[in-house]
Amino acid sequence: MDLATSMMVAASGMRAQSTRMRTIAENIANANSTSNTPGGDPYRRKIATMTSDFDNELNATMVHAGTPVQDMSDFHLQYDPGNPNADKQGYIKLPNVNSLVEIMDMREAQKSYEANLNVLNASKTMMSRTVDLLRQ
Amino acid sequence: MNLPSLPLLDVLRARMSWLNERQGVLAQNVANADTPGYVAQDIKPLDFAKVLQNATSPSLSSPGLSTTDPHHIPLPGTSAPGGLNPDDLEDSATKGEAVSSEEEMIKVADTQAQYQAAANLYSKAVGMMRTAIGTP
Repeated sequence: MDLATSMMVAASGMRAQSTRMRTIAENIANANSTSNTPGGDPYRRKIATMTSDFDNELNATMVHAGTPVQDMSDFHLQYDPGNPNADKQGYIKLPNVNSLVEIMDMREAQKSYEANLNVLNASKTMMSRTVDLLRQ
Repeated sequence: MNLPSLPLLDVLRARMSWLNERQGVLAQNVANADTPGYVAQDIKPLDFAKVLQNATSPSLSSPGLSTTDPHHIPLPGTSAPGGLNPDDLEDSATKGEAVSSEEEMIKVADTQAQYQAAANLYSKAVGMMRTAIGTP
């Protein structure tokens, strides 16, 4: 396993975290998206998934972002009879997105991304030190 | 006597390749920090006595048989080919620990610093040899 492999592994981690960040962004952006038919279901929260798999070519355990799964928890109900998309009782369904949870998730993705970036930088420095041996 | 067979350079080379391997394992840990069920791994510390013995005992077959495949049986006094042996890996499964980003960051920084130290020592050794040869 050489330093280039380390960098590839770190890059796969960064890619997975960016995909996770995208899912979180979708959740936050759609936090108030309601259905456009009366009584219909609004936006359903997505959960980012990650799987590790062994790359035979690189001989290392890489990480990949899986397809996001839907959060099947209940929607929030709000009494809003004036809304054109409210049901007969006057309730409108709001997405099951909790902003606080999303913000925490976002922080975590950010932290993990930075950790991978640190590994990438450290590997890069080690590599350039080796190249420096040739330079004198 | 060829350059790589100098004991000092040989020890430093073994050290650097060990650090190389470790950086790869740490990169895997950081990349898979958010993968469910992944257990952090590390490699066994470098056995200094063994490295020293490999470096100082004169190789019996001076041209040496190169072991290019992990299945080849290395001659006594020669080191196994580069690459990670599965038994070098130790995971913290016994402790049942998931990946701790902070711990991994410390290990990455430590690996990087030690690699720099080894690279500096290598260039110093080459510099001393150059002084002996007499080239400016």
